[in-house]
Amino acid sequence: MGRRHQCLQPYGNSTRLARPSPASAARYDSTVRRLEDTIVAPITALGGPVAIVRLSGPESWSIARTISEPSSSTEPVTKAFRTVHRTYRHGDDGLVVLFPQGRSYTGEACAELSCHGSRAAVQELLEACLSQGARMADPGEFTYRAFMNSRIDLTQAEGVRDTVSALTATQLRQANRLRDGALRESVCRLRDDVHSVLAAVEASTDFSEEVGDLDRPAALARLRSVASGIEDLLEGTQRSWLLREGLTVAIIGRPNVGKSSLLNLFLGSERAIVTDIPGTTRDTVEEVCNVRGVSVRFVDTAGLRTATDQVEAIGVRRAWASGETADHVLYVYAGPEGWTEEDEASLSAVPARVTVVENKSDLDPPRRRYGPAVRVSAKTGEGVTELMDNLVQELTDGEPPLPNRRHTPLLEAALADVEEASRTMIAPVPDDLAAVHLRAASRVLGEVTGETASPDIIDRVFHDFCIGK
Amino acid sequence: MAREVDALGGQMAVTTDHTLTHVRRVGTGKGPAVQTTRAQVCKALYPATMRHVLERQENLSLIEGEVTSLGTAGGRVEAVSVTATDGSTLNLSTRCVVLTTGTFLNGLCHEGMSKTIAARHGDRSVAGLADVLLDLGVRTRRFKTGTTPRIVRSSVCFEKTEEMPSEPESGPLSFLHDRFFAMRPLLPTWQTRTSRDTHDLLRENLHASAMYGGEIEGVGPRYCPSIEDKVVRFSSKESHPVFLEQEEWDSESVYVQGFSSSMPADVQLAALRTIPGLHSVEMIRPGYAVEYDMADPLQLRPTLMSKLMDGLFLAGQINGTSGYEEAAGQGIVAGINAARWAWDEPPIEFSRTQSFIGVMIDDLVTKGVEDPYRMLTARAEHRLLLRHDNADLRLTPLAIELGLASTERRARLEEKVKCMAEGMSWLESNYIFEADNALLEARELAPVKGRASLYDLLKRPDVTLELVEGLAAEAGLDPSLGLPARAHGDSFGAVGHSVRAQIEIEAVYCGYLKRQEDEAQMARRLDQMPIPSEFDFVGLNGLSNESKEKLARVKPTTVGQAGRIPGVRPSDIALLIGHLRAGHSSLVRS
Repeated sequence: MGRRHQCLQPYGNSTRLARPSPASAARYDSTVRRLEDTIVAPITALGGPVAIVRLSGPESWSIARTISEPSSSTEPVTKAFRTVHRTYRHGDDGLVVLFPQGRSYTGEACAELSCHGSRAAVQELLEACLSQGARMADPGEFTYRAFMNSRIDLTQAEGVRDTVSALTATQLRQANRLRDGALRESVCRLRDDVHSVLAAVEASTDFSEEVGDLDRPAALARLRSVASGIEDLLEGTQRSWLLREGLTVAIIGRPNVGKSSLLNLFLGSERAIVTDIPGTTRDTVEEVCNVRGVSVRFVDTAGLRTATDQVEAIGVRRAWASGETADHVLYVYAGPEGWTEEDEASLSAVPARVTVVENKSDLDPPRRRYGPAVRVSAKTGEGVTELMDNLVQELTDGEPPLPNRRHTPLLEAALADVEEASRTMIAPVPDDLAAVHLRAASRVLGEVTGETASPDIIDRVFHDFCIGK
Repeated sequence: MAREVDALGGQMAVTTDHTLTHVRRVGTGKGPAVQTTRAQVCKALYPATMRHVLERQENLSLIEGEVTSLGTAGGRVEAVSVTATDGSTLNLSTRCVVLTTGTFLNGLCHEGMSKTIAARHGDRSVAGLADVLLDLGVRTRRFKTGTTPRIVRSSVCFEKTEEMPSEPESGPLSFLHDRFFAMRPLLPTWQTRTSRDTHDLLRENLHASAMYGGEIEGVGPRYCPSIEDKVVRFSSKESHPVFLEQEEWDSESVYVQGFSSSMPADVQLAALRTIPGLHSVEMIRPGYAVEYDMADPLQLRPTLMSKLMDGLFLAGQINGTSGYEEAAGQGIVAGINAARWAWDEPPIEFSRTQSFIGVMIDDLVTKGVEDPYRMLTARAEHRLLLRHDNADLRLTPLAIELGLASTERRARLEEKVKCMAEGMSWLESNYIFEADNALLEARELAPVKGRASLYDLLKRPDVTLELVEGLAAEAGLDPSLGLPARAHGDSFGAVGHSVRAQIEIEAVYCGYLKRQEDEAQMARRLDQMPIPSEFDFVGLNGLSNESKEKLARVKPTTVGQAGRIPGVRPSDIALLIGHLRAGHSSLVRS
């Protein structure tokens, strides 16, 4: 890590450090024991034909050797790490792969032992390891060690977490980019740029006789490029959260236009009750499904009209509320009735982004049509593919951005400081003030990658991990 | 730092105000925190005055001689042996010793390929003491410093240089003074520059330099390199500034600032003669380099007492610093703590958030030094708070508490604090109204809506206190009711000058000051988490060996200090805090 920005470093978070809770103290305590131990956990899901158990820590090689003996070949297969086919003392056999320190996932000496995938086989192997002094790894502990050993930064650790928990192709794509260090790289580059401007400012204040005055236009240009770099990262973060957390799409329209039928069609099941009676759906009905790699929660709502009873009235209110909170709205009208004044009024009252859907395209064409509506038939399925394409297009808008909810406020703070620093470059104020902002920007950028992050932030990142990662 | 030493009751600035030959403001326009006063003192008068002050000091005996050994028992200093100039040996019993060896410890002077065992021109070096330190387990290293040639004033053609007159309006250095007490009219300094010819000549003769000829093993100061270093390291620069400074009023000796060198004398002279104004210059004495022993400051506590020997304090160049102010800053800290040690009083530590002295000592004892340490404003992360104009507000209260401040110093501080409060409240409670907007427009200032307090006006970046006063007067207010008068001539009107500067700075930078104060506050919290002195860092499970080694080497006394050790990561600090919180008694050796 680039030493030593420590003058600026831990202060930002010391408030949190200074106020311990008993729970966090206990947590640190468990953290403390961690790195010296040799830990073990299965890194594959149970139930497959083959399972892999990973040992990491100083004793991992000796434990692996103790609990196994060479079977067919004892020659290492590759030089980067050693693969040896071994028979375990309890009888099972498999490959033992030994990774030297500095060349493993965790950065420590590691051993990965394959065995047959049954619960009993894995259990025996684990117990053999435990009996030799290993301890069960906590959730996320392998990745935690990789972070502690500077194999990866905090954003990459988050990438690992997100990769494991990804539900959709989009989430996976995003997680992969994080894990590959795309965000780390961008943030480090931005931080380096901040440092170079800071260095120029400091040099001109401490060595003005030697280096002359600060080249303000050059510094300003550099800061502008940093600012736009941060803006690029931030662009579409709103969407990024949506993709990560899943999106909500409300289906709204007048009664009996086929909203529930559309929901059932999307889900491929008869989830919502469908009748010819207007006002059948009285409460909102929600279901999650995967649309082209995006996790979407569809909310079917009661038809918008003056309600005939109290229950329906509540349902209609909820429908409006759904329309207000959803990330996207499918506004449905039925072809035969056509686009009405009422629809016009309702549509203009919906705050979210809207796709207008003309249902019942299998019936007579409407007298009046909403121009850009997507025509579908919930009955025949006609047009549904186009609707989904349209929806995905609307929802994802191309490549998903990288920052998550933890990164975004930090990047925004860094942006604010860089912009302040830029302002001081134009204003008739001393260079020294720019340094205050640049140091702050450096510190928050460092928090993104973990270089200046406080212990509890690090803790929080590793909180959501599962065993074996 | 000179101002901080003064605020603590030190002598440096007082003597400077009486013996200065030239004064200039440096860093104007760079910001309040980096703006300082640079004074040159008379080379004969300053040490003579200092000696006089020491001789008059009650309860102080001066003995001139060479310290040859330390008497120790049970890890404590007990005595010191001195060989006096007449050859007799004195054994002095003592509870503490402050070693300030400067460049004397195994001093070796280089001029080209020739070497002389000496601490500096005309002073013999000291050898025996270095062995005493080695026996204590002190890690020593060789450092190097340099000096410039001295040239003959009458051989300089000053018309070809740029004259930089003194700027007495920069004000006195001591907080005790309202003005300078210069013996004679202040002198100018002259600026000229090296040329391409200078650089070519030096480059061609590099093999003859002590530095590049491989004669010097010591590490030189990175931030004030010799001229041959500059030519090599900044090879793309076509010119370096050179300042000509007269050493005394009547002497012919001129110091060539920016041109320190260990080249052979003939090369130095030839190189000097390529500089405008120096074409027919004569040298009184060539520049030379000095190598000397320094002791690793990582073996010091923040009080400057050695971790290896109780009662042994080290200050100045022996701790790897370079520069007069750096030495003075350590001198006063070591002095204060030696006295307190002798009295069994708890030590005083100086915080990074409170003074440049604190920044320097923390850097020394936390990061160690790779090359001679020079203070740079960039080293202080909260430097807007550490301005030279408020050094008294930051440190004089401590001096009062320690009994280091004279009655006069105390009275002046109280007066300043009172005047500042009055001035602030006057500015805050008097207004410019919308009706007075014509006055603002006449000065090309944005108008106010409703009303604005004078203090709010002062906060605008383009508004000075003087301007606000003018406005107020025209608006029918009387500034003399709240504000001290402006300085005129060489009189700075008691504390008025600094009060006005304070108010102006507090207003213009109030947002920044608040922010830095908040940051400093947070930093202090970590600095207030102590690590027991017997804490066993090597037994600290969970840390990488690298981090353990670093922690064990520095043995930080607080979590804050641990976090500043290069190579120690935030996650290491998390583990450390965890250990301290969980109260791992097993890690504290009894």
